[in-house]
Amino acid sequence: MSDQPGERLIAASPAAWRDATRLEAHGDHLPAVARVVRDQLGYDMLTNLTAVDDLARGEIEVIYHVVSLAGGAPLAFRARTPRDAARLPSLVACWPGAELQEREAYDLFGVVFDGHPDLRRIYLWDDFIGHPMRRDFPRQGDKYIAGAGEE
Amino acid sequence: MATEPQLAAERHGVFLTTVTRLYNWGRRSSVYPLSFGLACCAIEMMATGMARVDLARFGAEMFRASPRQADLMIVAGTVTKKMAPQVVRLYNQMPEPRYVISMGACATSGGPFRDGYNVLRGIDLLIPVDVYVPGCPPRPEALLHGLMTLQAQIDAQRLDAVRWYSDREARDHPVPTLGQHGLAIDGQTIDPIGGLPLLSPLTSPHAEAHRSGQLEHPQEIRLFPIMDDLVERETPWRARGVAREIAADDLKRGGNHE
Ligand code: SF4
Repeated sequence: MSDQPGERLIAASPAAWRDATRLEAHGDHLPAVARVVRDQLGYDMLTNLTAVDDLARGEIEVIYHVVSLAGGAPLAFRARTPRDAARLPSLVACWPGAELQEREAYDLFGVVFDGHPDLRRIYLWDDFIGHPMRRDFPRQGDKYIAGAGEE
Repeated sequence: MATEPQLAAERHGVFLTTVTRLYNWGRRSSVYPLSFGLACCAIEMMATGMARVDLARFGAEMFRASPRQADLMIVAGTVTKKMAPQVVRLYNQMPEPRYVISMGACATSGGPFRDGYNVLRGIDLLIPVDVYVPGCPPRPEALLHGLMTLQAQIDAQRLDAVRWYSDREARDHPVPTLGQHGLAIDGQTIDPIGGLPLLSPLTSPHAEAHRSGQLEHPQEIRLFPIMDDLVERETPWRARGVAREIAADDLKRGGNHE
C-alpha cells in the first residue's frame, strides 16, 4: 500500500474490496487501513480474526473479517508477517472484539500484537511452550510413530 | 443353601441371603452417577437419563451434583489436557466404592482427537476405568449396557476381597499438572507431544487398580478407523489385523483389499 492507504482503498472499486482475498494491508499501515474500513466503509464489527501459517513463504497471514451492522456484504482483509518474528499492530483500539481473537492468534500461532492491552495465552496454559497451530509444531500420535504405518 | 428350606422360611416371612449378596444388591441398584459431561457424548448420557431409555429403571437416575454423593463417574466426552486435572480431582473426591465408565472413543483413547496436542489420550492413563463403552458417540442403549455390565461386575465382588472394606487405605490418584510440554506428574511429562503416553492404562476389573508398568501398547500397530484413512487403503494382511467389522465396512464402501 502507498502512503495514503485510505485513499487507495477508497479508490478501489467495491467489487475489488468485496473480493476478500485481494485486500492486503502492509503491517505498518494496518491501523490506518482498519480505521478507513471502519469509519469510511462503515464496517463496525470484527466478527472473526484468524491466521494461516504459510510455511513455504515463511510468513503468517492474519485475516480479519468485518461486517457492517447496517447490512451489506462482509469484508475480509489480511496482513502478512514473517514467521520467525511475527508481529502486527493490534486492532483492539479499532474493534474491541479483536481482543480475545488476537489472544487466540497469539496463543496458537505466536503472532505478537503490538499495543494489545492484555496479550496472554487464552486456550493453552501460560507455561505451555510452542504454538501448536504452526505447521512445524511436532506432530503427535500413533500414526506418526516410525513403523506405525505411515512414511 | 438348599432351596426347599429357604422357600419354606420365605413362606413364613424370613428371607435368607448372604451379606455379600445383600450389599452388592444394594450397591448395584443405587449407582448414583456424577452429573458431569465433557463433550458431545454427554448429550447421549442425558438422553440415557430421559424417559425413552430411562436410567431410573436401573436405579442410576440420581445424577448427583457433588462428587461426595456419587458412586459412578461417567466420563462422557473429550478429556482435554486442561480438564484432566479436574477430572482426577473429582475422582479423588468421590467416596469409595467408586466406579468409572469411560464413555465414547474420546474418553477411552482420545478418539478423533488422539493426534492433537490438546486431548488426553484416554482417561485410563490417570484413573482406573471399570467399563469402556465404545462409540462416537455411543447410543443410549450402549451406555445402558455399560451400566448393566458394571452392575454385573459389582454383583461379582466379594466383600472380603474389595479394598474398601479392608484395612488398606484409599489411594488418591496423582493429579497431573499443566507442564511446559503437556501434562506432568511430579514434574515429569507423561503425555509428550510427538510421542506415546508414558503411562500404561489403569484398569479396574474388580475395583482394584492395576498398572502393568509397561508403556502403553509399545509395539503394536493400532489403527483408529475414525481418523485413519490408512484403514481404507491398506493391504489385506493389514486389514485382517483390524477388527473384522471394520474390514467388512471398508469393503462395503468399495475398498480394494485384493
Ligand atoms: S467420542 Fe465422539 S461423540 Fe463422544 S465426545 Fe468424542 S467426538 Fe464427541
